[in-house]
Amino acid sequence: MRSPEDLAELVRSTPWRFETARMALRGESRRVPDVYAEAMALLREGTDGGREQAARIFQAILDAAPEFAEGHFQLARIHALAGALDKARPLAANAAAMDPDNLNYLVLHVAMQATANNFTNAAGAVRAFAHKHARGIDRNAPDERLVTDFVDEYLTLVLPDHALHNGRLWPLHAVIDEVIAEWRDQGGRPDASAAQRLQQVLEFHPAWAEARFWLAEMARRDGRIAQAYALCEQGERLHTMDWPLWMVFGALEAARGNEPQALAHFEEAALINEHLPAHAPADLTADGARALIAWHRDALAALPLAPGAYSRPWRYPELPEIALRPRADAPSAFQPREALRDIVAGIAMTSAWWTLARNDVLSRYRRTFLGPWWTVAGTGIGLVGMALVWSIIFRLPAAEFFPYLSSGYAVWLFIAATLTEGCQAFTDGTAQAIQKNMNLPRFIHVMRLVAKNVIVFVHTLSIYLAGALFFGITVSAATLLVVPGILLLIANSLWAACLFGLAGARYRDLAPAVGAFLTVTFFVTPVIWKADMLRERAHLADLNPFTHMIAIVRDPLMGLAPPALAWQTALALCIAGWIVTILVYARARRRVIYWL
Amino acid sequence: MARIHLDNVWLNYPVYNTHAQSLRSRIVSAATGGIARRARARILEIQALRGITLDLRDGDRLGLVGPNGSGKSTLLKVLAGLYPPSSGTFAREGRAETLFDLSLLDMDATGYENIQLLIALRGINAERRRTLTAEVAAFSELDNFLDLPVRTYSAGMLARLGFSVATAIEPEIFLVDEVLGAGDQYFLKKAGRRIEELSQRSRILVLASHSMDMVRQFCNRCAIMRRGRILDEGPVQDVLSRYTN
Repeated sequence: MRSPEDLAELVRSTPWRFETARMALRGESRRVPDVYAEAMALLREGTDGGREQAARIFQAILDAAPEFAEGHFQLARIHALAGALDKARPLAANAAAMDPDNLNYLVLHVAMQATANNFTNAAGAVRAFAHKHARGIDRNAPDERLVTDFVDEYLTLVLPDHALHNGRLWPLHAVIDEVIAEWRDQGGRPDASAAQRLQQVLEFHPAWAEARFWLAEMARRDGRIAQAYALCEQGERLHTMDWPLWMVFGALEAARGNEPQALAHFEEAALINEHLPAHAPADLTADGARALIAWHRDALAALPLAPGAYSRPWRYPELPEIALRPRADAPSAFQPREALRDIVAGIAMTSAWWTLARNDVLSRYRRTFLGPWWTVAGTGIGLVGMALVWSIIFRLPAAEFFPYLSSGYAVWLFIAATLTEGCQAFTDGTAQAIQKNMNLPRFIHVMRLVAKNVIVFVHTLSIYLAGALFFGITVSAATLLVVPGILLLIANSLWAACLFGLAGARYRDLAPAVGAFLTVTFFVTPVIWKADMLRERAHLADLNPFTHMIAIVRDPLMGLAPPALAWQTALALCIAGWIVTILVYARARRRVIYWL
Repeated sequence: MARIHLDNVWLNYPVYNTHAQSLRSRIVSAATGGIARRARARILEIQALRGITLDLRDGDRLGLVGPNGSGKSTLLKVLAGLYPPSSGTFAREGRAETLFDLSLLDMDATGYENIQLLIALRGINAERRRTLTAEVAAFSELDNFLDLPVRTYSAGMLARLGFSVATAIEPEIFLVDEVLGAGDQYFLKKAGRRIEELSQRSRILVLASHSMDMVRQFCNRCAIMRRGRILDEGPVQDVLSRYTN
């Protein structure tokens, strides 16, 4: 029966809703699905108002089409949620009778019957259903247990977050609240009905972290350790642990004297809740471990037994100063012997670095006709042009200036490339890929880089050779000095590439800084000019180490013996550089992989 | 005789952001007498492995299973000797070979050139390199594709190439991270046979994978990893049945 107010309410709502309701009233049941959809949308709003309106529409539908089972079911559900179980019961019974194969209808019906203690009827309906559908329901169980188990398992289908308890439907959190109240009032009897009920419900809702926590914590506080333990273990097995439960678990292990396990559990809690102190068990001293365990015990004890306390922010006790111990067997960061071994092994892996270096040169010119000779051609044309202009400016004969310029420039290019590319010796794409995939001596990356630049150097040196042949250069015994000169240059470039490579991997600003610095250096280094052009200030050029590095190769190529100062500087630089590099390498070699 | 032994291995992985990595921040820190020392604190440390204990002997084929970021790849890199543990002991006997990613391949070089490069990286001399190259080429069954630049290869062909090279010089310890999944069924079978062969000659395989099927196919032991820890380890059937529940 419909009241006039209801009808008026429907009319006042949107015209569409009025129209569908009117149609439903007139019995045009083919439109029932539309009205139904509208009512369900209202229900999904989740508000009391929405539910009321939906109830009115369902009532209207049922008045017009009483054979509509879903209508009975939905209306029963609305009444059940509102606590009007007496109204809900007959409606649910109607739905279940109209469609006995529908699990949803059956669950609601059975739950409603259980709230009226009609277990015999309800159990009969469940048995009939189980007979037909065999859903793993134990048909031989006593009526009451059959019904409660069935409801526990399937009630979430129709009334999410609700449980049947003491003949009433409860929102789940209300069950927890009752358990807490019971525990407080009765001093925590393990057989307290609410706690038992919660335990039963938990079996069907194992992921319900809050219920598990309260049961475990109460058991722990009561000294029912085995039960608390079982709850935690089950939670861990089912991967449904939240941080409060990890804390309980840890406290239980600590009480058993299993300290490492307790610390591991506390760490799990800290991984989920960032407000908890996070310490790796291995880092803790014995005192620190004790302090941390005490802290967790206090934090649990500080949790008041009050409804909702679980989800409110926890008040944590003051954290004492926890001393950490140095990792027992942390390897020393400084390993000079390993560093030296790495360097020697790296140099010995000739096939590896040579193939890489060759590939570097080839890959730059892949699919070109001239290949590496493109560099030669470009540099050569530049050098010829420069030699033409500068020999006029400086009033030097081209026959003398061109070999000077081309040999010096080749060395300069080698030095500049070694330093700028050196910054990326370990961070360049191939080097990274190798270091992330293969356990090779790290020094091969330095060897590869220097080898590649030596290959390029030999190519650019051919410009000098062409010039030397064309102009005819004086060859003397001093020319042979080019061999130790180049060797010393390479020895210097190895440490420089390694040192710059390490620094460049750690500090990424280094590469552009070196690039900028070298541009300036080029102009203050006697490559396109001669030191004696500075006249009485020629010694200024001697302050520049690059002057000497170039001289030890260029002078022999010009048929001259390099000055002693050049040899001394280059040698001193080589020794000092290698010492510094080995010291740095001994410390940084193992860490480079983390800098990539 | 191959063996891997890890005892309570922890690995802290420093993550450098642009700030911490710049030279300026160091200089600023020094110039301000350490007021700007916070730069150091900004270096984030990730605990990538937390107390890993593992003992692998001849014939062990271990599958590492776990969600992304659980430490599978990091553990493999420790086993390969690429990442030094922050603490704990790590010992390995036997030559290790890795198949982690395919970044080592030079995309512009041909298949043959890549095979030669990869073999050279293993420190093999020139004569043996030639015969090995032929072996690898035959096993990969890439035939004429080996004359083409690698960038023209499909993911499956790349995986074939990588696998063929990695197993060419019989490794005592073979560490594989995921890549194999790209190969086709036929090649997977062939790879399986070779792994089978390797493990019959008392070798160790460690395979990280998301695919339970691959772990079942290739491994006899399985470790479940989560957040840098081994949760469960044992015979493959037992562990997987526990884990999938």
